[in-house]
Amino acid sequence: MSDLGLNSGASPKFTGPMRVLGDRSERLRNFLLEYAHSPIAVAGGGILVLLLLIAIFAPWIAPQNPYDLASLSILDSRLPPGSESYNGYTHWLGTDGVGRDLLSAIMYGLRISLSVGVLSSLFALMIGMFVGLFAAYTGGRTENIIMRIVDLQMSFPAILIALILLAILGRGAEKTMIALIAVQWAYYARTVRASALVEREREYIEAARGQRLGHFRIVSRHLLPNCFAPLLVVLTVQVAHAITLEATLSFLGIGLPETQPSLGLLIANGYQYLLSGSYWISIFPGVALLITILSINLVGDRLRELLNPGMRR
Amino acid sequence: MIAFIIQRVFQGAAVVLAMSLIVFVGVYAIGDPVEILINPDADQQTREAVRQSLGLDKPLWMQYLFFVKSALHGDLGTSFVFNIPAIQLILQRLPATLELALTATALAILLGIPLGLVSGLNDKRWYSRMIMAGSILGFSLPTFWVGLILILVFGVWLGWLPVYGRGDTVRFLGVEWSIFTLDGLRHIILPAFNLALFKIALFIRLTRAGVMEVVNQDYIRFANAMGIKKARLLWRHILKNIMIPIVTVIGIEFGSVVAFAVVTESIFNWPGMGKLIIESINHLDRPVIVAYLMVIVVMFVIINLLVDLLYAGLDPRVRLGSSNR
Amino acid sequence: MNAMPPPQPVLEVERLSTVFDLRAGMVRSVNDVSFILKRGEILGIVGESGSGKSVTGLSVLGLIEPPGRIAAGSIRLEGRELTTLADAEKRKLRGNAISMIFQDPMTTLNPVLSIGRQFFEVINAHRKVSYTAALDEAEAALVQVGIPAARERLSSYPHELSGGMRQRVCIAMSLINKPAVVIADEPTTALDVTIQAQILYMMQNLVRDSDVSLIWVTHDLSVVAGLCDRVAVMYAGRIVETGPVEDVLGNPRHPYTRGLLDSIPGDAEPGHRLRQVPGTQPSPLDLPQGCSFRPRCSGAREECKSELTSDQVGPEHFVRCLFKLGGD
Repeated sequence: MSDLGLNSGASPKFTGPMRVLGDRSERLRNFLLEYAHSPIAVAGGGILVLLLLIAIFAPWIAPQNPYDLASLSILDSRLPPGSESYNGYTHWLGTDGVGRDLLSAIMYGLRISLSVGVLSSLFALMIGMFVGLFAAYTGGRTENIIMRIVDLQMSFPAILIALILLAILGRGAEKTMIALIAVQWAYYARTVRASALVEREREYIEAARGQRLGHFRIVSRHLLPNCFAPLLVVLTVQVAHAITLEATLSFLGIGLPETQPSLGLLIANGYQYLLSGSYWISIFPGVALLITILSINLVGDRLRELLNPGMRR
Repeated sequence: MIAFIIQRVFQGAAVVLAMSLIVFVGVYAIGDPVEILINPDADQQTREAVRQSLGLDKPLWMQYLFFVKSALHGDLGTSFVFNIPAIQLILQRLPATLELALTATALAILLGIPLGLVSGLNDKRWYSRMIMAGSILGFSLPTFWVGLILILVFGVWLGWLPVYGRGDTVRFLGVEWSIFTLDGLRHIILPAFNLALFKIALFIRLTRAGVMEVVNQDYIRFANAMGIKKARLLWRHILKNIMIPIVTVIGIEFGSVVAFAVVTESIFNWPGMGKLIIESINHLDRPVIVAYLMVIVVMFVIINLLVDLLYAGLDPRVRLGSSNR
Repeated sequence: MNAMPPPQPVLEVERLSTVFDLRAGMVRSVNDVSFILKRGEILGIVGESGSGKSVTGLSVLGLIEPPGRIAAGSIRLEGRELTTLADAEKRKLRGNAISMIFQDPMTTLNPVLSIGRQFFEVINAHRKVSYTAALDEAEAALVQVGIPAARERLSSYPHELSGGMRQRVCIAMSLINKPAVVIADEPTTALDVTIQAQILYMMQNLVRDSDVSLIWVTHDLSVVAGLCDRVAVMYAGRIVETGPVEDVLGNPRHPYTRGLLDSIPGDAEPGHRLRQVPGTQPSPLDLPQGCSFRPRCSGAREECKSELTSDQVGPEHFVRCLFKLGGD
């Protein structure tokens, strides 16, 4: 777990943060080379980058603005994939119940799903990191109480916690974000504390304490860099979880509002047409969701292999 | 042992109490069910009458005390929507959910553990790679979307299996069951498989990781050096070691299966308490929400206690009450 | 011992080579190794870690698994060739005619099975006995290795016993089916010195009282001196010197044996620095041509690059070196 595990085996035991800063670009290159040994992980990474680009540039590259009501026509509703609309435009993935181009809707939906997933994970990471570091750094009773809460929360499944919160808060974008953050923070807190505990015992932390560096500096310069690798792995896993959970909640009608149609909502909207045979309205957004989660998981698996944070389970 | 159980029961009670407070305050402090329940054109007087009849005019703390007192008598309020006691409503729906969750867990065990064993024992073979790829897929597929695909393929396109409701049920031990009728069995296949999929992937990974760790242990090498036969090595020496963590995970995951039944029940219109809670959230039917959450929390506390006891019973290295581990 | 007629060899290992096919290349862990083991004899195999001493033991038991394989040579147990046996046949011999004691007693016993159950498993693998009969047998075996309250111990689990106790249990288990040969792979290395002495003493008695033969794999020459009848010194996969303990340790003819002896703290004069063999073992992927010890040997010459043979220098005393240290 030391020195980010980037030069597995080759580096000496003592690797303080100085080393990490020292030859960072070289280590990054080595890391990428090592990552590239797994072709399937490279494919996953490539697809993920592509999806991110689509999500970011959706308003500019989507064939249609699916939420510009003026451009929609009820005559185009539920067209199967590859049909031409009445004004001569080809809908490669078909249209939905109100005549929206599905490809465009998916691009916009991807944008919403990814931003909700990534943002909530980053927020949860910050909260969890702070709590975990605080627990590890203070130790004793405070640490005990915090970790008991973390354990208690993790003994409940994520969807149940989200359900409780949304039952209390009601439906809405911010409320969904709050639920997603509440579900995730404990994972980060536990990860950060676990690696911080290992680092806490190391000589260089003692040395830093001996030099009477400020608490903040010890934490930010010494504890934090060494928690980076396991955090990165947990972050990828959690982003995938958050996206799935948001889609699930939105599908159930208790997540995002209709005005912010994420992939989950698109699938839900298509659900009513599924039994009557208009499968594409539900299935294509689902495929997009699946590819997104799969590519994140492939990257996450490879990162875990390379960084091996030694997590349980 | 007794001390441990008592201690855990108290802990569990504390968790339940804390949850009841959070849930109650959360649910009752936010939102106004009256707005939904009565005609928007009704005058102020009618509103007040409804408010009073529901006890919503009292201060929150009084409502909570009243709630706790009633809860201890098994009364968690009356559903605004169905106008029957919330706890009764939940308990009516509970068997359907438990039946679905138990079937799904059984499926996950019966498929996940053998597949994990096979792929762990023959790590490098092509079929082990296939199994692992399948498990990654199983992790990545969102449950609700798999449900849609199952409905589309087996219900709409092939028309093999029903995709709606429980089918025929039969009364056994005072509870209605689907799995004991042919029609009910046909109805439960798709939702149970849907609910099991994620857990199958999980059990494959757990079993595989366990096998791969245990086969490299010295005690397996020693047993091998003592000439113990392969089959016996697997069943007695390897399996017992990996089953200890897996059994505890099965216990914990059962709770999660019950929670995730919310999704599957909604998709397959399975009349369990998961479908009920989603409807209740949409209707702001607070007593039902509170009752569901309380039932679930109590269930989790009981499951966790059972898992701890089970673990202690299985692993000779764990002795409850003492600190040596 | 010399007065008795020469005992029949129970184990004959001839020109054994065990290799591992790794991605980086082929590793010859055991290279052209030959030795015999007589009935009731204790043979020590000494060497540094990586010298191939443990792999030799595992090869004899047929426990080499891919990417490893026995590339050449023959292993005969009581006249029966083992290298060509089917897996099932080998399994019948293991724990029965030939068994093994591992290095670390803390990890050798199954943590979730009781001691009695583990005895039953080992006995039942080779003989059909009832559980209670197996427990009786196990109790007697535990008494023999000096475990107090043996009957109660049978219902204990490994974590309830100390390291020394666990190693005694392992020893009793490896002996329970009355094997002809036991291979002990550094079984006292992980133990305290006092417990180590007790176990060595006990092993000596066990061997004397039965007609089991023992191969004791170790890196510790002082153990060999106190325990063994004969010794084989291994270096980089080969036996470089072998013979009766008194001869090899008393009058080493190979520079490596000499070096090992010089680095024992007990033999050094007080106040003098310990001598050590300079350098490290060669990489098993890239063994030097000719004598493998050549790069570390002060007496190495050009001729050492040629292939060596094992030369007899005394009764049962063989040395693989062109420029042997000067005998008596």
